Amino acid sequence: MDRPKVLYVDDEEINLLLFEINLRGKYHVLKAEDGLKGLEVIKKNPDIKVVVSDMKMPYLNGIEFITKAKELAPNVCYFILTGFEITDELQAALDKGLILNCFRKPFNMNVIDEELEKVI
Amino acid sequence: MNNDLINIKEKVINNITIISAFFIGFPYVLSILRMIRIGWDFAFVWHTVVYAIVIILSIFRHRIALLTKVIAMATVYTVIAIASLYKFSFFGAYYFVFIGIAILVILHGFKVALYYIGLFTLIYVFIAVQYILGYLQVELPPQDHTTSVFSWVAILVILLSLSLVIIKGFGQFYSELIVIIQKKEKTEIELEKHKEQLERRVSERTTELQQTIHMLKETQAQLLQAEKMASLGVLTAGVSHEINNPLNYILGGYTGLVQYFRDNEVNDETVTVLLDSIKAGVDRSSKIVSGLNEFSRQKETFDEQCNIHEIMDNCLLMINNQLQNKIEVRKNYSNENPHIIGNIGKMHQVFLNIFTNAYQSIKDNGSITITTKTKEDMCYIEVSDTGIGIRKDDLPKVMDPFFTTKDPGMGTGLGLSITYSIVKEHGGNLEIESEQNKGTTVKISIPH
Repeated sequence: MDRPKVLYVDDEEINLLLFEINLRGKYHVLKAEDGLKGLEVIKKNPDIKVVVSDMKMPYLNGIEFITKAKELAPNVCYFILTGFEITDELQAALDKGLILNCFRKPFNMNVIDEELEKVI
Repeated sequence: MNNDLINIKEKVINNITIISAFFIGFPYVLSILRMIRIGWDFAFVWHTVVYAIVIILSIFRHRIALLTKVIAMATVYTVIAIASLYKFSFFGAYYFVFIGIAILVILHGFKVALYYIGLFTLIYVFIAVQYILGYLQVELPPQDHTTSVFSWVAILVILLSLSLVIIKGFGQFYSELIVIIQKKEKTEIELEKHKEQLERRVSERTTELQQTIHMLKETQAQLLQAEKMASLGVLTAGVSHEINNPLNYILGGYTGLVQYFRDNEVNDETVTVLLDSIKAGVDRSSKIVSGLNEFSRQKETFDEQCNIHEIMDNCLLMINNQLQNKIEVRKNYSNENPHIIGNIGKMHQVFLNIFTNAYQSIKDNGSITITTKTKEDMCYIEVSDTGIGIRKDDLPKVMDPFFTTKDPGMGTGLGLSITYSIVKEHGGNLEIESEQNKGTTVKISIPH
């Protein structure tokens, strides 16, 4: 069976790399450096199950990106991974169900893994 | 009536009584000699009674009421005058009536004195008629004058004219003087009243002003604090984001390495120790960052669940490098793990301020003891230090905004005043007990 596809969007290359290395055993990790590229990836890969996005990025921030992505792929599960506190914007997105959860940096791979397993 | 006036009258009548007691003593001595010579008679008894009254009045003058003394003295002199007139016709000591007049004028005004002299005139005429008609006779010659209408009238005229001089001259002058004094006094009393009113108003205004100044200072302090916290918030949010990313590299790298060693079945103890060190370092750094974030978060609502122990631990972590080796922190945390509803960021400020004061007050070595308790619906937190304490004079001022005894740069004087107002915002209370060179205890109670 193919590994489920997970898209990770972050403007920091090392983060993308580490995310991939740590999760590639279980998931097929797709990467994008910003929201616009992320949207492209979603268009090309309709079988993506999960999208995890950083919050602070150029062009589109995490929530803006996910809002657009949700229009393209409403059935995908979305998560935010942020180095900030949970802001009002994030809280609102959680309340609306736009995102399922909010991970904090430095991220604990086990927690993310557990959460991904739950939804896939 | 005014007290001063009464005092003056009291003095006058007392003086009159004393002088009278002294001078009436001379005729009484004569009376005693006479009694020895011709024996006991009615005149002697009567002299004794009069003299006894005067003596009693003068001895007990301080205990007898003014009115009683006035009436008694006036009566004594009037009776002497009438008796002399009766016994010796106008050769008698009728002029004593002038003293009666004087007493009455001074003490009761000239109207009473006028009635008095009118009454005395009637008695005079009554006695005069008896002499003129021959019912009464003096024992000593010359008899002729005492039966002469002219003599009686002449004496009466002298008596009345002198009386009127005393009454209308002195009396009126005296009465009007009193009226003037009383008027002046009334004005003075009114002035005094005005003065009191004015003073009261001034002190009211002063209090108002002081309150306003106090409020202004508090507002200023809060503004400063808010501004400080806002910029601190922006700063820490930025810094924590920037630190969280590299921490993320480390933790990600760590996770990857753990996996890598597992996959390659490397079971070296040194590797485990090294990996654990990396993990411990990341954990602590991330705790500090999140503590900073908690401390400076810019939420204004008071609806968060605040875990008191967690918040205090966060704050202790933030000041950890100030405590090392020097100050021992003793935690007597209650098992109930108290929570309150409030503002997490602000509660962090409260404990950070209190802990900062505690460690700054400890010069060399010492300890900070933190005790928490819950009782009914209250949560009690006590923070004691073994520092230098607070001077007694300073104790009431420590919560005033901008009050500080710290060296410049060490404190703004805002910490405790902000702490106090945050505790109040949470519906709680804060008390400080301190003894110089022994230490300070801060007691906080907050409903939970």
